[in-house]
Amino acid sequence: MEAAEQWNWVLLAYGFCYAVLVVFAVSIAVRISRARDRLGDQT
Amino acid sequence: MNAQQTTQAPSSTWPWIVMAIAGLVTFVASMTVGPDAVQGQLSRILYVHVPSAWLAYLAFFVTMFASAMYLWKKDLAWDRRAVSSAEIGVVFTGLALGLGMIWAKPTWGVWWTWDARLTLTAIMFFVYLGYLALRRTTTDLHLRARRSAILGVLAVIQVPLVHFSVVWWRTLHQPPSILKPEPIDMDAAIFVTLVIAVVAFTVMYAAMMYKRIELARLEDELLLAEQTADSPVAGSAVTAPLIEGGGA
Repeated sequence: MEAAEQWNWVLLAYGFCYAVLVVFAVSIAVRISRARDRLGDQT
Repeated sequence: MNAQQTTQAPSSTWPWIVMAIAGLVTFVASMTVGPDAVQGQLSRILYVHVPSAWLAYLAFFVTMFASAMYLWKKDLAWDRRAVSSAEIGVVFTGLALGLGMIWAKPTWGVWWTWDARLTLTAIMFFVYLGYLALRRTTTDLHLRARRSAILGVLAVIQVPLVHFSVVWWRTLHQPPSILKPEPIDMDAAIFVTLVIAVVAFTVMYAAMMYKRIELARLEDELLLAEQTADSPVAGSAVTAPLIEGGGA
């Protein structure tokens, strides 16, 4: 396999990895924000 | 800490910065090291695959420890640590599986094979998804904590099964390169890069845990607030009929 083709797989792997990590981090941030808003409504 | 105090306390931003720096360090380290003599550029995938697998092990051991501490102390703070680590562990197990598949396709020629290591890792992924699903079966905080703590303690047996599967059975997946009794025989530059990536991902895990525990605490407070709030009496929203603009 040529190096250029190998780089395509590497980019796919890193794109997948960092996309998952960013989505997970954002999901935590969004859930914290929503929980704070709902707790604010309760008090 | 009550609900009002929590909503007033500002949410810290430093864990997000730590996560970003850890991700950047891993990326720079793994892109600047030379390619492997046999695998070529594909070896770079291992600098995120191996740390992901390591974090799955670590996260599920932390879940086991926190679960055992909950069963002993009956303190919900331990339950929040257990679920936080389990959720992060599921993400990193999924990452290890996905990255392994992306590496396997150009290397082995297939995305997936029913190899002992791959199969046991997939089972572990679904068992911990079950752990997260189990927590949705009740809103009683202590009942939920007790049920999931028992599973959290028992399910960790899969971690040594996954790790030693490549030793105990003939597998397509290669045997351990670092966590093994024999001396490490890989190239120094590759080993150092792998250590940097593992340390950076572990720091990322710690930062994620900080924020995820904050979320777990807020969710518990919200659940308690909803359970203790005065429920409206049926029909209390109905008001006496009045003619618009008319007097009483």
